[in-house]
Parts: sequence; C-alpha cells; structure tokens
Amino acid sequence: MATPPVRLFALSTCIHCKALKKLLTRNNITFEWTDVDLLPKEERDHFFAQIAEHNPKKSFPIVMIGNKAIIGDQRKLILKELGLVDEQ
Amino acid sequence: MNSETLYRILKKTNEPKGYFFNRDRKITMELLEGLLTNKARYGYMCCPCRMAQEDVEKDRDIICPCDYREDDVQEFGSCYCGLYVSRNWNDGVIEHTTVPERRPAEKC
Repeated sequence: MATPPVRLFALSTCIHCKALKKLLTRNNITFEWTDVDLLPKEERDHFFAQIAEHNPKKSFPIVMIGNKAIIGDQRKLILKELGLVDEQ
Repeated sequence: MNSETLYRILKKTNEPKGYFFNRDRKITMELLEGLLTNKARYGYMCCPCRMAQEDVEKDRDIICPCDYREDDVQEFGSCYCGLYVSRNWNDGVIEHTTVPERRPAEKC
C-alpha cells in the first residue's frame, strides 16, 4: 500500500521535532520538513491561522500523514498510522 | 557565551533547587544551543520547544526556566522540553512520558 504524503512541521530549536525527524528517517519514510519558526512572519501567521482550530496551543511537532494531523511527539501513533513498527 | 558555559552557570543555580539537567547530555546540549539561538534571535532565552511571539511581554512566561517548569517537574518529573528534570526522572524511578503543553491556549 502506498504511503500518503508525510509532512513534518517543526521548530528549528525543538528537540522533540528533531527526534521525530530521526524516527521518520530511520524508518525510510520520505517526508517534507518545514521549520515554522524560520518562515517569514506572514507565512507563519497564515500557517497558524490554518491550524488554529485543531492546535490552539501551537504545539510542535506536527506530523501530517495525508490529511491527518498528529500533534506532539506521538511516535507510537505516527508509526501505527504509517503501518510501521520501530525497532529502536 | 557558548553552551558549555551556559551549562555550568545554570547547573550551579538550578541543581540546589531540585532541577537537574537531563542525564542525556546530547539532548541537554542541543536544548542549551536552542536557548542561545533564541537569545541571539529574540534577545531572550525563549523556550526552544515553543513558538516565540517575538515580544518579550507576550513570551515572558516561556522564558527559560518557564513558569510551567515547577508544575511539570512535580507532575511528570520533567519540564515540557525535557531540559530540566527531577533526580527521580534521571534515575529512572519516574517513567518518561510526553509532557503535555500546560500553557493556556490564550497565551499561545
């Protein structure tokens, strides 16, 4: 089964975001990565306006698997959604 | 200032209060680097795991150590980032779990 597109929205300084990046990488998941804190303010505001309803606390990381958003370092849930079991 | 200097200064002032750095030194040093990055970017050491609003008044509660550290360490053994933890967390007495965002949504 083809994996839906995976996108990771992160903060460049956030350790939980880096941990998820490593998790996806070692599981050979192709994903797009955006450091939201490095975006121009206008783009950042637009991003937060879009996610406000589902993420009012602006928590990171945010993993989008297809249209599904998983907020926070929820690795078990992310792997389950991707149909994977992490060996580490 | 580099992260090693920051480590030494903060360790000295925080350990006597019961707040220890994460025993995983790599994690600790990356978080301290994040604090220094934010200091250079915003002028204050905003929490590296939260989105700064680039306004010291709005971000005052998340300048490290944040206003939520005490309650988070008491309840979960770790702050939101995992930079500051309790002795029991470091010793593995307390299970390591994801610390939920305690900051009220209206401040975020």
